[in-house]
Amino acid sequence: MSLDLRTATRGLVAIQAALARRVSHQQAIMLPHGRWQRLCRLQTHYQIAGQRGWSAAASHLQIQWQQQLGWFETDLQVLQRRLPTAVVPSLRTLYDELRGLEQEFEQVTLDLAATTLTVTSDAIVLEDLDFGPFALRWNWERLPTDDALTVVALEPLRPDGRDDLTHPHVLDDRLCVGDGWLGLEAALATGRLSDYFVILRQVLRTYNFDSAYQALTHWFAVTCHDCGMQVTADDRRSCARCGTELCDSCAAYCPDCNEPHCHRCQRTCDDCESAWCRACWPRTTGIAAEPCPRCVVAANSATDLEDERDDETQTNLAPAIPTVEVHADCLGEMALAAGSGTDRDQRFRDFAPS
Amino acid sequence: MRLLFINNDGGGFADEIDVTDGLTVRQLFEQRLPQGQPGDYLIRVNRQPTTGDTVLQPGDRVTITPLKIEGAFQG
Ligand SMILES: [Zn+2]
Ligand SMILES: [Zn+2]
Ligand SMILES: [Zn+2]
Ligand SMILES: [Zn+2]
Repeated sequence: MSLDLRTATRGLVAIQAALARRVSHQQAIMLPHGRWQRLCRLQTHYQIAGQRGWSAAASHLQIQWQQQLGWFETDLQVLQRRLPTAVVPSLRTLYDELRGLEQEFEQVTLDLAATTLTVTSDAIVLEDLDFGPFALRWNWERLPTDDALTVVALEPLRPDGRDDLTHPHVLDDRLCVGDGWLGLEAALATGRLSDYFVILRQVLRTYNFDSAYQALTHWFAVTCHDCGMQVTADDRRSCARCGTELCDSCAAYCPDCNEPHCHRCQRTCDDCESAWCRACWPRTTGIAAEPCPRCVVAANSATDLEDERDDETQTNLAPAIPTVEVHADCLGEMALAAGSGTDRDQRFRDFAPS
Repeated sequence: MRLLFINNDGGGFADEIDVTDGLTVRQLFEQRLPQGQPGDYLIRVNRQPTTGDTVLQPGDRVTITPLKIEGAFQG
């Protein structure tokens, strides 16, 4: 075996002692009183909710009650299984277990000072997402506290903004073993260390989408900066000005440059309600209710149209002024071509009858 | 002959069982998990990988572990 014999032996002696302490700790029978009391409380609350006609609360309580009942059943199974089978394994058995571990895992280390046995999994890939290898670190001195195991991602693939998640079932370096629980209990009760770590690895290799801390489809989801909704990678937009992540409904597309912008980086026109980016509509006048460039153009065009009509009424008096033909659909161009209103007012005054 | 049979599917039962001489790993699997598919499990004999044709020996320790074990989000 690759672990040197001296280290392995000293480690296994310490592990054997820790397992023996665990066995004696468990032999002080702990009936699931707490669970039973919770069940009784939920039943009372359920009856009260029923009597008062609170149907939503009643159905919620019923679901909780069923969950607790399921856990109560598990508690009893564990109790039944633990007592007769919990045995202290021999050093020979533990030595074979260590060799079995080395068959299953490429890296197995014993740290006597830290009182840990660590095995390293291969890269865990779930639905094409590579979560990298995990170090399963088992501290035998912490066995009685049920806090012995930490599961540390060595090349973590975390969702955006989540430092605590490294796997759909690993939060804060703790693996929620779900269905693996009974098998793990049984393995520890008889010192089957290789089964213990193999079960953990298979839990890591399994994705249970019904009860994941974060669904894989949302692993790279981001939070929309403007509304706080979760947005998947495919649906996210980012503000062209400041780069903030946005959902599609919060991204306002500027009518001029057509780029998405966040709430902070846009200005909405009071007249036409279109949202412009601040590059295409820089604040120039400082007037809050200033119309957007498009509304300005449209307003100028309308003024021009009126002016031209007025001009036409003056042609009899001033035949020398050239007339401009006006079509509704080229108002914009005409407004630009016709020059400023001030000039035309001047012309009108020049030719007004005295 | 007697074997130690450990089923890590669910409860992790470890049973001493009597089987006929010359029983293969595949036959044992079919006896113990008639509804299961061998491809859905890791099967080890004396903590070593094995094949379906391997003939079991007295005192062998056979372990079956499902490939898929569902974790959860609290625990
Ligand atoms: Zn949004
Ligand atoms: Zn922005
Ligand atoms: Zn723009
Ligand atoms: Zn406008």
